[in-house]
Amino acid sequence: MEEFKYLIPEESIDAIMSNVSVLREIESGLRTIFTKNHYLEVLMPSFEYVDLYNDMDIGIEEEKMFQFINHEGKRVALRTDFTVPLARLYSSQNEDGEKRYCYFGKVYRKEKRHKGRSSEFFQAGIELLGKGGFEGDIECLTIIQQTIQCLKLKDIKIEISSAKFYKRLCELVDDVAFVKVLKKRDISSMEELVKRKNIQSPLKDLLLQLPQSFGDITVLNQMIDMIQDQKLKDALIELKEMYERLNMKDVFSFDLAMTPSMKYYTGIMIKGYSPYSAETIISGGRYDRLMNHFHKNVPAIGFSYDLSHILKALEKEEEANA
Amino acid sequence: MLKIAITKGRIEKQVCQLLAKNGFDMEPIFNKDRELLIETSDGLSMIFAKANDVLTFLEHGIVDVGFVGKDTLIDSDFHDYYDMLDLNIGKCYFAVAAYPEYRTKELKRRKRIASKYTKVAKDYFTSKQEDVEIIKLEGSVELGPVVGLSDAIVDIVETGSTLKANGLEVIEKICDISTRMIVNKVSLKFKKEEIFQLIDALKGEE
Repeated sequence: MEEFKYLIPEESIDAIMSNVSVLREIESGLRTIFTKNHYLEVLMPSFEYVDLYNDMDIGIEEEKMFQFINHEGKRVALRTDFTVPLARLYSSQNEDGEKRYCYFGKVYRKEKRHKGRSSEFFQAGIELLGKGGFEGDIECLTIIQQTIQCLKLKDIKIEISSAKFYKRLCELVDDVAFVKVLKKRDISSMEELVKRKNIQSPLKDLLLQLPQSFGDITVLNQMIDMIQDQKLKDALIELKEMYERLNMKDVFSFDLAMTPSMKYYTGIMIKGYSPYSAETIISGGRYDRLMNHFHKNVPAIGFSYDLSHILKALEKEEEANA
Repeated sequence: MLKIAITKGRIEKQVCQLLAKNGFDMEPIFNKDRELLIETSDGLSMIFAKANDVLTFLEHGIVDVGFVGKDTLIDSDFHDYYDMLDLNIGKCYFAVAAYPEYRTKELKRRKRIASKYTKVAKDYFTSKQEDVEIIKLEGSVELGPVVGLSDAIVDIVETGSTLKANGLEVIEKICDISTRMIVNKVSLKFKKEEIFQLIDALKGEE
């Protein structure tokens, strides 16, 4: 028989999700909460101009996009992310007020061959445009906290951090190697960097501490006590003040060594983990300057759930507890 | 229980000796026969694998910690892990090597470079703004120039004796290599204490 009658393309590794009913259950739980919070569900197109993604410079490499030449001779790509198209949608609506969008759907990113990785991911998420500062942050974190139950996972860790803190650190250290060292939490190279740049305390102590600066509020307090630089301190105090206004604090912890997963983050960054998933299951942050690409000065924040990874984690968690 | 993958062979020996020196019970490992998975009395579960597979196991969250050479990390296109500690063992370096004439020879065609580490070779010549043809060899890469398949090689150099025995020499050093401790990103979040205990022990700070 012809191969295509029994093989699926390697990209489609997980296309047929064995647990569709669980997926739909989680989805409907999330949808109920999003709707209750006045988020309008949108169904986004599958194709976007490659130029749109490139112009936003969000950090998704072009080679990861599934690209086609359309009838205009222009490059279009399968949707690789929801935030950028939603920013476009918002800007096309010609107003600057508050908008709440939620979405459910797949994003597509090319993965390396024979790595056991899928190229399509089912995501759900929200974007809150036009609401800056604490109020927007708290609204988003509150929704995360409300939705945790829907995900059905027993053990979830959600960490928050500040892109302002990260950016100021980069300024202070002022070394091309720093971002990589921090991203890898490379203790040895951090020691080497501190020595090479002759960085003095307290910044030196802070940098050496950074790879293990994650955990509950005591980690944040310790770090704040350690800092002398005012801008750096302000970034963390802001994070703390926001945290203190949350209702259900114990859901959240901190990771001060977090680096932005999307280039456009400007404020709070959010990441969620399950011990049964090697990938993050929740990811998001504040992006107050992305709308500048559309000549608008509008604050925004959003986050997404990686439902494909959540489903896999659920299966593994059930197996482990069986 | 901390799950660890170690690169089989030399790295396995050196890492286990280092762990033993820092107070870990490594007897079950030293006494192992052909088992691929061993649990120690310190609550470490160890598997032994080829270098690239250590990375694959870590990527999929099968193990929390991996011990692997920097050469493997550099040549891989997977980078989503923490690369936390330089163990300062298994030190060697990547280099371009060739016959001495290579330095002065002017070629009227694209240079041909043989290497097992094609990504390292490509990145190096790209950084030099040189367009070269890269040919993958799986082992005894020195054969490249010797049999006339390539003009030079990119390979790991430890003592340089194999190069010398074949009349080749180091043309330029690319970067240092040593054994690294890498950590799965999610594991670090859920097993912070255990992992930092291991790090402290390996740094000799316990």
